[in-house]
Amino acid sequence: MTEHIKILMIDDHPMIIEGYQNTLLYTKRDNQELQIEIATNCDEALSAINKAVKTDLPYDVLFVDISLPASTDGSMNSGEDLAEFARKVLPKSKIIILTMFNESFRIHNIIKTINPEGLLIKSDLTSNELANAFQTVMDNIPFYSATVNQLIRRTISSDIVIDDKNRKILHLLSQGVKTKNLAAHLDISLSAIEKRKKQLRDLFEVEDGQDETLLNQARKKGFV
Amino acid sequence: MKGFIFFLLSIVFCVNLSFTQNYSKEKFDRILYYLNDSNKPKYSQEQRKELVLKAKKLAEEINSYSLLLQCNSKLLEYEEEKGNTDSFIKLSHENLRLAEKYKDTATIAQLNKDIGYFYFDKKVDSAHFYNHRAEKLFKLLNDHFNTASVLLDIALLQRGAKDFTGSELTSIEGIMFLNKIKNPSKEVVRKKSFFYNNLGVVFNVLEQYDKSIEYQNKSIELKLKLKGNNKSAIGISRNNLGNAFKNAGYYEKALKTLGAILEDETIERESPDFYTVVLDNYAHTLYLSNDRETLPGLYYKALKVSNINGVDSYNSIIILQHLAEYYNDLGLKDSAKYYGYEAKRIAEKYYNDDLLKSLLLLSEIEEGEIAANHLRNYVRLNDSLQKSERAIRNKFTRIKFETNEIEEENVKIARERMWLLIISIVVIVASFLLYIIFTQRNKNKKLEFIQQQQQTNEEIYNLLLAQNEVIEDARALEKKRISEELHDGVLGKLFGARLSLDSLNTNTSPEAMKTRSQYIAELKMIEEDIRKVSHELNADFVSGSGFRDIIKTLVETQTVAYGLEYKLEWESSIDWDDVSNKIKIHFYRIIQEALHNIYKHAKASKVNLVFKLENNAVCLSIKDDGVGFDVNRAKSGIGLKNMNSRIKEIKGKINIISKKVEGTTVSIDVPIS
Repeated sequence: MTEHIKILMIDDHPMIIEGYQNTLLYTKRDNQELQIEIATNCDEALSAINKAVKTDLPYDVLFVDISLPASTDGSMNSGEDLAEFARKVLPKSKIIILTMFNESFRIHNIIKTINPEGLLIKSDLTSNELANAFQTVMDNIPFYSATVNQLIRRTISSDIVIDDKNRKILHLLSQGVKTKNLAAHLDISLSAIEKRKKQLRDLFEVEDGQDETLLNQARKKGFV
Repeated sequence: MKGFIFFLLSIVFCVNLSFTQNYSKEKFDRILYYLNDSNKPKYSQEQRKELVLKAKKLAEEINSYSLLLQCNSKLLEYEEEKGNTDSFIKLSHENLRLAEKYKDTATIAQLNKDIGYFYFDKKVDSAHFYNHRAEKLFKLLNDHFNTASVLLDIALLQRGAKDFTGSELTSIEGIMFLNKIKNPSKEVVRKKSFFYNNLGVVFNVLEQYDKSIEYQNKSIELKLKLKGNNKSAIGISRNNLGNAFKNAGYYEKALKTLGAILEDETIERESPDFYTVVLDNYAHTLYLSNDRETLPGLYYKALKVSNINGVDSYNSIIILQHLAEYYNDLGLKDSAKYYGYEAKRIAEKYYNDDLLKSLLLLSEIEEGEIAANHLRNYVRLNDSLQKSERAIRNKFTRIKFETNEIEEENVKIARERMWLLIISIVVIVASFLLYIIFTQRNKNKKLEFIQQQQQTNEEIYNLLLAQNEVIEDARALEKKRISEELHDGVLGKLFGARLSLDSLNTNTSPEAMKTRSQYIAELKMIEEDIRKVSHELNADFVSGSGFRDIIKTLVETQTVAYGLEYKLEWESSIDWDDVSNKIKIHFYRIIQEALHNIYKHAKASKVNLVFKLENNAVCLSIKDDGVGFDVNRAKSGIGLKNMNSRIKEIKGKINIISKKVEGTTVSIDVPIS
């Protein structure tokens, strides 16, 4: 019996979509028939999703890239927003997130807000792995990249628990954002940030008080 | 090495010192030995003097004031004994000079007293002079006893010069001083008795007999209190008392008093002079009381004792006068004449009051022309004597006045000296304070200047820092841009290509091969992209622009404010990041100063600034089209001084060329690295 699979690939690089297409087409099972649609920005993706909802022809699988140009109406800023929206409107669709980001904070966030069936890091992705992930997800089993799995394990195995704000602080610091500019990003006061940083330093047992050391420690424990 | 030499030197010095000390100690001992020897009676006076002279010589060598003084006093004693006036005076003055040199007031006073005493029976006015000096000094020293002693001498001198009132006053003053002494010693009492005696005599002469008697009684009373052999002193007072009684007309009392003296039979033998005086007095009292039984026998007896060694004695005069008076009274003119002329003959030797008395007596004895002659002589002599007495009294007054004057002058000099000292101290202190204030002010000025300089430097430094921050931000922005470009563009493409190639990897169909070559071509394009980004990274667009921007802003704002046109050129690219901040700051300030000077003095409309790099030195030339100035004359201006000091600090060179009308060019060369 032929399995008809409707796919939406969202990525702003045609080359990458081409790569996905190539991989999937070459590795699909014989009984699978792929119907692939493409969106290279948020607007296109949004209209495709809306159309699927309207026509009641939901996608089986959505390949979503995280870094996407924002939608013109401003409702979608990234693939993350898009995936979240899709999860809401197309609850039965399986979502595979493909991202260049391998930072702990982003991955953590993605898992928390979207809980995708597949989470793949582009940098260590091979065509085999992509095919493998696609098939595994199709079999209703979640598939995470090895990097993601490692990260999750590391975070879980350490006794350090930090909240989202602190996680974001670590993330922003790792991005090279200066402490004095953190307030603007987090919408909290500078003194609150300092307090949180102190908390983090205590948590990660940083004794010299340097951001560098803090980041190194956090990275080691998989929080960045 | 140095330390060793110092050590040696100090040893030599110590040895030397101790040696000198030993040496003087030895001399000291020898002096004492000589002086001690000179006291021994086994040596003759000459030998003793010799010893003292030796001691004196040694004392001069070791420069010992006290010993020298001691030697001189000893020598003085010898001279006094011998009555050698010149040597005595010479030595005394030598001692005086010595004492004055060492400001030994007590010794000076004592020496003055001694000299005065020495002159007492030799030169009345000199005696008076030294006594006065001694008196002042002793008063200064609060030495009451010595003051009184000197006053006694003065009183006696005054009495001798017939300044009886003066003598009286001096005596009373002397007694006052003696009264000040608590627990009076024997000497004090003796002196007091002498004063009373003197007062008694003075009042006797002044014919105030009651007072005279009173004082003589006091004198005798005091003398009686004294123990020891003062029989003659008492005798003198008693004789004076008797005289006073006699003159007062109390003949009974006079006879009793005088008779008491004569009762002592030893007196004739021990002091025949005094005996004759008393005896004569006694006889004269008898004569006056008209009890002439024993007369003229007593007179003859007195005359005999007085003339005991066949020489005319002073006491004889008065006895002879009394005899002449006696015989004249009896009408025995011849005898009276004989004794009268005899008295006159002896009295002529002394040329004093006694001669006067003799003349008066003779004028009474003789008659007619001879008597008149004697009277005339009497008047003449009286005048002459009075004149000389007056002269002496004047001299005394003058001496007193002069000593006072000297004293006053000394006080004045001392006061002047004190003022001079005070003024010089004030001047010194004031100048010192002025000096301190001046230096402090200078220091403050310097400090202020440095502070100001630092402040401006800081400002510029902050400017540089701010500029750096701007650059840093721009850099970060650029970094982010490149990172995004890499991430979104290159990386995505590369990923896509890899994924596609990966999926085609095992496929050998010609279609796949074609697709693969497509992707390989794609890879080439990605390479190109990377090269582009790499190139962008390499060209640091912001490098060195910070300082240039700062300078540009400075020149722009300054010239706008000063209404100047400007041209700023960067002839060679200078990597300002490698130039130290110090040099940059100084360049900034120099440009600021130069522009300010141009605005203030040059009356220019255009200014041209050029930065160049020559032989690893930054060359800046600032040229204006103003009126120019005389470089040599303006060198001392604060602005130029500042510029020079700044240039010096960064080891640069400054050259100013200025021509009238054509304008000024300031060239600065500062080596970097």
